[in-house]
Amino acid sequence: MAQLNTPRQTSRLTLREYEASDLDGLTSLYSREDVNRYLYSEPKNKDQMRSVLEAKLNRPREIIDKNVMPVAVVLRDTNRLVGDFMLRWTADQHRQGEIGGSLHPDFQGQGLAVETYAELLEIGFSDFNLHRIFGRCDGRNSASIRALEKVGLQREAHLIENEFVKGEWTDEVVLAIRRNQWLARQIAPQN
Amino acid sequence: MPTNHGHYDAVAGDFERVLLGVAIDQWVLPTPCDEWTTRQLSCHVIETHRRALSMLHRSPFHEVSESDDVVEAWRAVSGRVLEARDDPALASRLVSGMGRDQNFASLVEGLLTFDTLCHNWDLARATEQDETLNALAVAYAHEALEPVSDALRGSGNYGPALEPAPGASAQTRFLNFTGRHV
Repeated sequence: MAQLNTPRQTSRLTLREYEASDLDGLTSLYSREDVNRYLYSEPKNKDQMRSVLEAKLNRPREIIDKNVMPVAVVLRDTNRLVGDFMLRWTADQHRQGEIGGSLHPDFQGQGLAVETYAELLEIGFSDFNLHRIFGRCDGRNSASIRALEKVGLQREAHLIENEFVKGEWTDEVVLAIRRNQWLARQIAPQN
Repeated sequence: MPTNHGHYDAVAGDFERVLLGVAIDQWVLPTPCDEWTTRQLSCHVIETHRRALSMLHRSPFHEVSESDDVVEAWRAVSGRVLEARDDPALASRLVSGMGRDQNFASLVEGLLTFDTLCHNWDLARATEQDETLNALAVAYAHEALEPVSDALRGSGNYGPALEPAPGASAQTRFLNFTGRHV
């Protein structure tokens, strides 16, 4: 159930599982300094990305609880990998999910992150029957925060200096949307 | 995985109770929804359900006819909605034409719940019945709809929100939010 066995299509994007041929696309994304700025990670070269991709490809298929679904985001017109996103969820009584990801800077500013997040919410609420889906961003990452707000997540918390990352104390913003709020958006689309 | 049907069952049951409480001579009374009589408002709720079912089954939609018994028509349509929602194959089927494309279960848990809840109050008010709505459903709907307030009003679903009086109950605050004078 909880797989992207069938790729999902949005107006401009295909959301699908990772393939071995995605190594160059992933490297193009995560070798960049700016993509890693608000992540825990440092820029990685192709060799380093190979093990990251292998982990995505070889993850256990049958883990139910606290699973992570890596999502390769591909621009359909050009078949180029433009984003690495994920939906993580718990199948316990709490029914919580988390969405997040990185979009290649060459493709930012076109609403592609919003398009991706909207589809991830659809999967989380509709297919996985989750109750609440949240996102976590570095407090300085205003582009990601804005994209999550556009699909209806609301700020729940701004944690101040809750983590020490890359030599400095950083803030974390937590945003979330609950199931009923998402259902209401299905009646009255906002974007 | 646990499932969640939201508040539809309770809201549908309450709507049936208020329909049963409408006296025979009350079906022509005006309602808080200015353009509708009590019968027309009830038919609107029934027809919203019928529309959802016709989209689900890709079958023709029929308005409630003059000769139909409103209570019977409601029982039939809400029963069919519940049946479909509890059938996993139908519940997960995508329905187009009522807001965004969404599966039938979401339509029941969202639109049909919100719509039936609000009109329950309208009908109770118009026929001088107990106006108390299910408190959990009120909280659920208010919390859900508040973030999409502008879009709801833009689409003509709700009138302008009213400022609740100080100390107003949660139900009154919700009804004021939907533009209803309480």
